Amino acid sequence: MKRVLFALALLPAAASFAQEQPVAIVGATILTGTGETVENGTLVFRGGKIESISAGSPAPEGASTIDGNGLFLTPGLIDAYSGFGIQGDDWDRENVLAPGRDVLERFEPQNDPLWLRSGVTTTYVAPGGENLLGGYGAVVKLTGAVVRERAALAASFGESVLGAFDAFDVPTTRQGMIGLLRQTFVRAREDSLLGEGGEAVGAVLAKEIPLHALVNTPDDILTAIRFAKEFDARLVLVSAMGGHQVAAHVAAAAVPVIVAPSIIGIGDGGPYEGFAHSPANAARLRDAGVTVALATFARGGRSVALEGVMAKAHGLSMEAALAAVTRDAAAILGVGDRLGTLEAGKDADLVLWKEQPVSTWARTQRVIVDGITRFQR
Amino acid sequence: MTRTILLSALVLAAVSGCAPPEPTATTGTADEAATVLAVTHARIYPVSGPPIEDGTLLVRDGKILEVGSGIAVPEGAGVLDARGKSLIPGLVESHSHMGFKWLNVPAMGRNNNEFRNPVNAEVRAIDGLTSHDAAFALSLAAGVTTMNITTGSRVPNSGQAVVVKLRGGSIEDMYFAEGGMKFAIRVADERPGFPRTTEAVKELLASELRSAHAYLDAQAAAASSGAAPPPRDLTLEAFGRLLEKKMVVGVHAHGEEDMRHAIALKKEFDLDLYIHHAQGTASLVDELLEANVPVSFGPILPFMNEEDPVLEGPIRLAERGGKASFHQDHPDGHQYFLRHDAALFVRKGMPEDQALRALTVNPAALFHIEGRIGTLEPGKDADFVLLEGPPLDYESLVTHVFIEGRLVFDRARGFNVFGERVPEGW
Repeated sequence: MKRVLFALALLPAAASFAQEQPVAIVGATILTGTGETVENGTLVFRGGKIESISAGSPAPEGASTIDGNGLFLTPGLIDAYSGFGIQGDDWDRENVLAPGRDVLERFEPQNDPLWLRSGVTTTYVAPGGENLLGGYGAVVKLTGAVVRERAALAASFGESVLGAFDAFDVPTTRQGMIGLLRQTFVRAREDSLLGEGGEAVGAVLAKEIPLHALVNTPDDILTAIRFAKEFDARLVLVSAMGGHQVAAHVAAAAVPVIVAPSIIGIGDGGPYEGFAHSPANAARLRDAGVTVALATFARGGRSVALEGVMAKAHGLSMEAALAAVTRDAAAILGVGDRLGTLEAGKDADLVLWKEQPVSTWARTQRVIVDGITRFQR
Repeated sequence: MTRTILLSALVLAAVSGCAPPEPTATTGTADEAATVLAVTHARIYPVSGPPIEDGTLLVRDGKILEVGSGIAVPEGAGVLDARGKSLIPGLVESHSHMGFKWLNVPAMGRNNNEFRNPVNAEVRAIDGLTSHDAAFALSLAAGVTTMNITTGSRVPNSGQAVVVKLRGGSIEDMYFAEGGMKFAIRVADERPGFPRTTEAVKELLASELRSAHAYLDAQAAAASSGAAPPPRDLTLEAFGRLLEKKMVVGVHAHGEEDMRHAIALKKEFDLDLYIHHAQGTASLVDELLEANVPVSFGPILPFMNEEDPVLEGPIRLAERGGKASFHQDHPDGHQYFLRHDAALFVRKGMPEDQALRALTVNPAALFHIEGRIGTLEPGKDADFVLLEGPPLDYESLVTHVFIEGRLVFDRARGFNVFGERVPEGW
């Protein structure tokens, strides 16, 4: 509750609360995110929810109108993995296994409107990748409102863990990490892993939430799939830079992927396991039949809108690229019932674009979150 | 030393300059050596002038022979039909650490900062570099043909940079020009004897320059009197070259305060100086113009958001006649996105031609090599890039890269001159 109040104070808005009168966006080219395009479309929303979408209709009686002529309308974009709003460390420096942590403990979003201006309205806030088990992540709006807390349990078994701890009682190899992870899951299954950590792993074992495995090399990806099968857990692969090399395996396991950003910094030499990083990763995975979402993996900087353009430049279709930052991202994050497409009953998270969306030159004209205009150019 | 390297590079260029274009595109008669390469039907952005529709570029001996529309293709020329493609000068990266820190081999690198002294003017980047870095091959996929590789920014003065062309071979084979002296107005490490404030960094550099002045005076006095010259000091010698404007200074400075220190150094010592990073540009446009200080702005992607008002600095500077370049600062910013950076500025209002200048002739001018590269004009080096569509559109991928008339990257054939394994899909 505290978080919701905080969220309301976060951004100045034209109106503090979602309008009870209907608002109609009239005349826009609507890309619904379901693959459908509605020319000269009318979208009506009220009280923060979408009421209707139709072609060529006038605004309903009593509705205020937003002129959408010459503009494109899409769902608000979703950055499927970021560090948005996290203050300080995003990982537990004391415990390599920290399944009971919750990223919202460290979530204090500042009023930084740049991502919002880029058309992003929602993001999954992820714990850092340094813990073997890093705790819960959450889906939040860029206003700070929480859409879904405890949305997934973060796991990581690559270089980011191996390099993070100086202590002597932590694994020093890949096989050691998996061994410790297996022991932890076995204890959780037989109920001897107590406390919040046990609850978190228990939720994965009960398939209430997915396990988000941050891995990169093709072998680590296959290990993650093997591990999830062993415990009959729902798996989401995160980063998966080498995913394109094992795309058929990922597809066969029906595991979705939150793909590492194309536009990365390489840092101080970069991770060795990033050798397979490719801007064509999303396209190769998608071509193999994998559901993919795009993400920045960042606390700031370029937005996921540009990731969509890069993925398109390297092989995703326009529809697939848009879906990877809207519908498919929402589905992978478990919030597809509320977000990701423009359909009656869903949240009125809307972006009006001056130029063709998912293009180099696409700039937002207006960004609406929960029915409230948060940015207008 | 420098002279020898330069000579060997020129020999290499002469030998490689007339290599044939890709065989599939060659339509010249088989028995006649294809000494001229003609790239035809391209939309050519010469950067020195407006775009040319249906343009032809003729290349001979590694140089541009002619560029324009309606140019006859000489008999026997190798022809590359570039219908539907854009042709731009090879991109020039003004600030890189490539070859110091190996891509994907982190344990091998981390040696672009010499920490022995706060001032290391005698240190030369070329002595620490390797060309066996997968990032060079990625750079060709990005359309980069020339690169200034500079020493690090964690010491006030880390040494001398080197400008290379991405011709393949060893770093010596790639040598093109001196890259100038690196200053860094920042305080990063609490090392004994190192300055602790940016003001102190600036004062340290100023005091070294004063010492170099005295050193030059002593040399001149010895020469005129016939007395024995002072013992050679390579640090002071290098700083002396700055005072004589025989070498450019690139100053690492981010914010307004650091940039003011850099401008003050330029004024006090009448240096040939530009500023790297320059994120405070927007508030210093008047000062930069008045002092005639160019900036190289970056790294941009992935760190900056496309809506970031900081991007307006170079736009304001360029619209008033100032010189802005963009850089990616590999390995901080990924080299592939240099061209993508420029699009962010165009989105915010920079004219396309100015954005292209910031990727080509402006960075070349920082090192006074704009007479050789940076625009497509007769007599200049035939360093050029073909793209699938408009040059700054993310969706236009680079298809071919030529350096001194030689094909060094061909996307369709999976060829790049470095022969390194390039990660899939770049």
